[in-house]
Amino acid sequence: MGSIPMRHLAIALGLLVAAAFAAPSIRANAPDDQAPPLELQDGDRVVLLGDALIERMQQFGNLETLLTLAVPEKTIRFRNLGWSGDTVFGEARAGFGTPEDGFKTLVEQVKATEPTVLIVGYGANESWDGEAGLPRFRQGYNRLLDALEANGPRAIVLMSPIARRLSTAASGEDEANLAHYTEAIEQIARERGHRFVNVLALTKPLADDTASDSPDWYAPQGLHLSEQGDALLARLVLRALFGLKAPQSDPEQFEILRRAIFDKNQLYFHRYRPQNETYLFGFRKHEQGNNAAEVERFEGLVAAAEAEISMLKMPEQPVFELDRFDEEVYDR
Amino acid sequence: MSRFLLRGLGLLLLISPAAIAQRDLTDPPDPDPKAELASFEVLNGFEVNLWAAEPDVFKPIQMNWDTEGRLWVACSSVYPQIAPGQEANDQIIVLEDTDGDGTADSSTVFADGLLIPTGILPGDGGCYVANSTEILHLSDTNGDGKADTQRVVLSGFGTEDTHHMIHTFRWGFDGLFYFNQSVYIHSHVETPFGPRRLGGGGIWQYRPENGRLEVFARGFVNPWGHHYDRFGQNFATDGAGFEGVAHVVPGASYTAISNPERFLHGLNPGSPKYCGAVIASGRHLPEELVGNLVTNDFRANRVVRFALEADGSSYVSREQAPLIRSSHVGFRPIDVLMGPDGAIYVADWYNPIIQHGEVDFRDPRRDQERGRIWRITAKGRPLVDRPKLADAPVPTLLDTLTAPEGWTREATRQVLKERGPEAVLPALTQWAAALDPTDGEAQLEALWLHQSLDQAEPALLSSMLDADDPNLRAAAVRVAGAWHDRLSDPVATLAPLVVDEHPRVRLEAIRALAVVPDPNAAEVALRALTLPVDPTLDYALYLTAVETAPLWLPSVTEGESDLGGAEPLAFALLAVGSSEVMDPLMRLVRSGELPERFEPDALALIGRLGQPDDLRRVLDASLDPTAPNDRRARLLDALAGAARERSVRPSGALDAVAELLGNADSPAPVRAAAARAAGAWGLDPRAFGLLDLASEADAPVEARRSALLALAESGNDEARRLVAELAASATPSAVRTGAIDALASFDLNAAAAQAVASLKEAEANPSAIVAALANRRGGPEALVAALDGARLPPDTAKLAARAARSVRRDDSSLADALNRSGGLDADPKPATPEDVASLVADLRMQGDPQRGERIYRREEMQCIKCHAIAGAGGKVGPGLESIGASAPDDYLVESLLLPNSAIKEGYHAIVVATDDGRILNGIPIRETADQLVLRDAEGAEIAIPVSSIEERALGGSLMPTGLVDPLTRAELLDLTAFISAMGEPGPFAIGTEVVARSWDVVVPDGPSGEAIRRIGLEEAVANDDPRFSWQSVTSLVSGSLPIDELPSLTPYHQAPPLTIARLWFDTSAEGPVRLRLDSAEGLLVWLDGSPLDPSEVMEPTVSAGRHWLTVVIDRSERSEQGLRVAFEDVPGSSARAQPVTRE
Repeated sequence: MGSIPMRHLAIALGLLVAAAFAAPSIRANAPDDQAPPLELQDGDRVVLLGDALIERMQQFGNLETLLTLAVPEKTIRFRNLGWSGDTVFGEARAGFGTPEDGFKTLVEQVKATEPTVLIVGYGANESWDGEAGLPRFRQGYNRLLDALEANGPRAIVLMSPIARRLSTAASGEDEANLAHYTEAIEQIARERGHRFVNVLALTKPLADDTASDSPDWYAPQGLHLSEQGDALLARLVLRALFGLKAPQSDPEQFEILRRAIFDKNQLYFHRYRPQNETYLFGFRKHEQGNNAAEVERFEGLVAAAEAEISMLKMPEQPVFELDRFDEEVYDR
Repeated sequence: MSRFLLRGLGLLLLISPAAIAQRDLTDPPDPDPKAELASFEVLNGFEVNLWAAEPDVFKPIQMNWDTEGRLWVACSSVYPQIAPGQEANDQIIVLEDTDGDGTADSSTVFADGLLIPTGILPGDGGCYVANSTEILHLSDTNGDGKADTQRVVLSGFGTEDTHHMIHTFRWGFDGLFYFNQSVYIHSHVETPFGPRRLGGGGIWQYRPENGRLEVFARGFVNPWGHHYDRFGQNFATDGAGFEGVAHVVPGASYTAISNPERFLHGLNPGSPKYCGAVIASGRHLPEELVGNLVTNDFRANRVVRFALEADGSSYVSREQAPLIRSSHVGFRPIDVLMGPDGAIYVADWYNPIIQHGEVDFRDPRRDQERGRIWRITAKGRPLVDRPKLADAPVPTLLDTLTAPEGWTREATRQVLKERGPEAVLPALTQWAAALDPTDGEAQLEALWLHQSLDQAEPALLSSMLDADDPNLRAAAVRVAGAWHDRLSDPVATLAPLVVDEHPRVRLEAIRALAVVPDPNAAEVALRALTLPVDPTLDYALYLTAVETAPLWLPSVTEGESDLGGAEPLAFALLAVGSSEVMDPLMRLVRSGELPERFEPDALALIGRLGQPDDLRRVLDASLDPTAPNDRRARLLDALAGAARERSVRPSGALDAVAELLGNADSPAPVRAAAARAAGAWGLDPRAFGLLDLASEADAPVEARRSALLALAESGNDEARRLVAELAASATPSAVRTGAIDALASFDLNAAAAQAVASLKEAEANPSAIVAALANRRGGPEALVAALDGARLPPDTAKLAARAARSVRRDDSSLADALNRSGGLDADPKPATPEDVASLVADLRMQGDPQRGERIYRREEMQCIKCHAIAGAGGKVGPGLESIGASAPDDYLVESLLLPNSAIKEGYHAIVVATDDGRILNGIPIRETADQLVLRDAEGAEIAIPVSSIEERALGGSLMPTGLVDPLTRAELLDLTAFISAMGEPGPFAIGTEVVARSWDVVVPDGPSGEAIRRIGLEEAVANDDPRFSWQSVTSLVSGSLPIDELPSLTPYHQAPPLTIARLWFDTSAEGPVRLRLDSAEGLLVWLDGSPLDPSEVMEPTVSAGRHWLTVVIDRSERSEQGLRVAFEDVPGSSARAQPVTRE
């Protein structure tokens, strides 16, 4: 087969188009009534930080593709720092070190990307600690923001976890926990003057949409979104956070661009999270540290891929159309 | 590649044809599969054919069959590391033998675009693939044979090392998906049951249907083998551990690099590393292979096998004659499976270079394109018909579940599982009901299939728990644990099995109870203590007690439960061993009901965590003169630790300590420990006799040194004056060195001056003197200053410089200063690549491995002190039994000359600075929340309170640079020739025989001779007379103990010289064992202190437990030949002797 991503991108594309009609509206989402839409500026570096929800966006590429197409005249770079299992404490990034080392790594990774816009998506993993874990979560999130604000992004956006569709016995409790953590994140955003996106509310209709003819918005077991789910979430976030409608682009061009973004994200992944770190940078670097220089060379490849993306994003005839959501489908 | 060929060509002119056949890094093997096949020495009665080769398959990492008999292979040319600009285009290749002629004739690429796929498992309408941080499921929805859909199943797996990333995908008998990860990997996985994290090695267990992911076992270094036997007992192999086959107990931890407080060992300690694992089965194979675990000694180019036999609650594993041996350096068997035709299939990674980190990722000699699948068949025995399962109706499939071939049963289970409960259950119920009640194996299949389909069937379970065959009961208990939340009363169900007559059933029941969330589960599990407890059961009980503590500890603390009595209560409390158990433990101690066997551990724990009154009990116990000395010393050290780390002292008067310190009859270790305790308590040095002890000329050195440190610690002026005085004058020199060490803790410059003065003395121990300064902050600088203008004997300077280099690797100024004062040149220049190349070129022709082995054994070389061969020797460095077969010559030479250039997993030292100014260098082997344990270059374990650590940094190798400097070039070639021959076919390969390799011999000193003169040889040996002091020796690689190297003792004038040697072995069951000696000439033999008639074959009956065999060698009758003792199993006996190294 030629390439896996290409093929399943094509599948997703069909669903994405379908989603424009079948998608729930975002009426249930309490729109952010204070902050005006976040406007992207030429030269922005948008950094996505969080757990598996964010990590998988680098492969799905939907939000990044939509944003790239929505403001084609601006040069915007995206860096995805999502890491499965991660928390506001940077637990998943500790490697051989202590949990505290994980936090330091997290902060250093963000710093290295020099974000101007930082989108943070944590809380899904922490929510398993239930109400008892909330004080520690609040404290951890505030400490994280203390460190991240010091890096000076002009905007920080806090996203809540997505709704989950678990079939386990404890799913009722899980729903309550997610609500608590979402509330905590919203409160932190308010206290610190950051934007907040209630992704829990945005995705709740997807979690509830179990009609047999509906697309599989979720991956099996209902913990993570499927590719279709991510495509829809991207459109919902585009509207809720950036006040933008999904650009009407040629499906083929969309896919070519999305493929280029996927490739760029892979190259960046090899740069920031290379395999064999133990030998290249860690305690066995005396053995392979001479090859660490190779890892830096991915930066040039990322830049080349971004040049390619900026070529691909310009529509031959830019046409923007209003995006329609079928209220009736949504309301059922 | 051309550069490499040119170099090879140059060397061809120099190397003899014989050497060309050997593996030499600059000597590429013939890559033609025919040449490789021709190199195979195959077990009698078997033959091998090439089933597939490049370009149809390349660089296979794992292989697994689908249910239609196609072989799915994960292939990677990107390994070991993606290069910038390189496309990640690794593949899943599907191979098939469509015409059944015994070779694959179809190869299709199912998927590409992958990044180092390390695991492959067909199933659920496609295949699961390990792809770096993720497990993907790929499927082909349009039937063209290529994947067109992918989904991320799990993500968050670590990639810190690409030969450790998740691997060894297997379907279990229970329908669960098992996979392994290795020691450097840290995984953080989001699951619908919450995040699951595993840092380090282990075996994961996953149910794709509901997303439940758990850790099935922990530990191991690089475990690329996992399979299960006919009754669902799991076994694993480790590609970087040295313990052979492990019997995997659910939830247990196994030997890794840094270990938890307790863990289980593999069944073949001292083995080479193995990759892959399959339990052989089926009608095609001759009887003697069925049930063998087949795995690969990939470093020594061998496909090997082990016979597994039940032994207590676990197994013994005995290596059998290998299936394939080869001298072809490209032959790298890394995976092995039974095939649908009943033959054995071996994946050959084909690579002359196997080192992951130690050889450059971009080394052009790494093969990136080849790979082979070999098929091993039994000559003259029919293959089995490849089963057609895909379209078979359910009733036919159910009948197939009883096939003698494991392959067929596994594939059938998978087909049935994928058919789903609705399609299978009605027929299954009918089939199970119609089974012959005596056909236990068929019933077990029915039970497992229910588990696979996730459909509890308590009635069938309950009848299986009652089965006559303990193997079936043990298997059923595992299922009961998995279904605990669907049984009406799981604790009651498991209770009778905890006291089952078969120990393995008890083992499973103890572990099954650990997952039952019931406060009574622990109490029931601990009932197993009423029956004999072997080491595996003891560990299982420990684990269950610890894991269930949150459920039972609250009621025990409240006094509402005693877990069924003092015995189980003491066991459980000591298993947990934390401050939470102190209250109930002290109650138990005060009640006087603490069983005696738990007393030592209880007192040690109290010493670590208790309050003043508790500590008083420990102190009183340490004063008991009838208690063993080492135990009394341990208790005193625990008290010293309590004072240093927690500032808690025993209540009441401490006068008794003065009595211990002042009494010349106090045993040396007790007196030394008392001095350490006195120092920690800050007792008055004069009143408590520390001053007297330090200056007492006849007192044991160990006690005087401890007293000196206590004097320094006291801060008292008079005490410190004495320390300074003794640092200038004490004899013997070991005491003076101790005084210098103590002086350094408060006056570095004075200590440095005395160190230099002392180094000039003839009897000085340069490395100890250097360590006294170099291990302290500011110490090296002080010593450099004191050396200014000093002259040292050259040999002393050389040894001192070597010691300086091993403690301070990054800074050569101290070593330089020492060299200068010895009038030596600065450190010898580090070896250059040319030096290495020149030695590599000559070693195969000029080096003599026999001579090299004797050099290896020289005491001053210190090789044995740090390295083990097949388990015999030190633990500081890696085992060397197959180093020659696995590592290229230039790597070996480089490692000898430049020890820091490449360091094996788990042998990286760290440097720790503590708050008392010490700098400690060692390999971390264990770390808990409050303690870090390092193994230092002497092999000693140093426990450091975590709270005292101010800084830690990476060290390098503990192997000192310059160790081989004293050797002539010819000697160095001999030594290297020996090391490079180790593990290669020939006299330096470790065979399958169980041979004693670790011995103790009596040191020919005054007290030893006196013991024999006073009570006679027989009496002294039979009673293991305490006047004997023993030193360890190891056998040659051949297993023979070279008598001419051993010390001899002449107790009387004109008596014949003797050597007294002893070895230790364990048995887990009672029965006869067979000892085979090369010859009984000139020997007297005792077993556990009772004389045995010496003969070449002896068959004593022994009880379960540890035994010691003492051999007295009459050197006048036997001096040239060696002494070799092999252990063999006696048919029908359940005793299995396993020689051990006494700790």
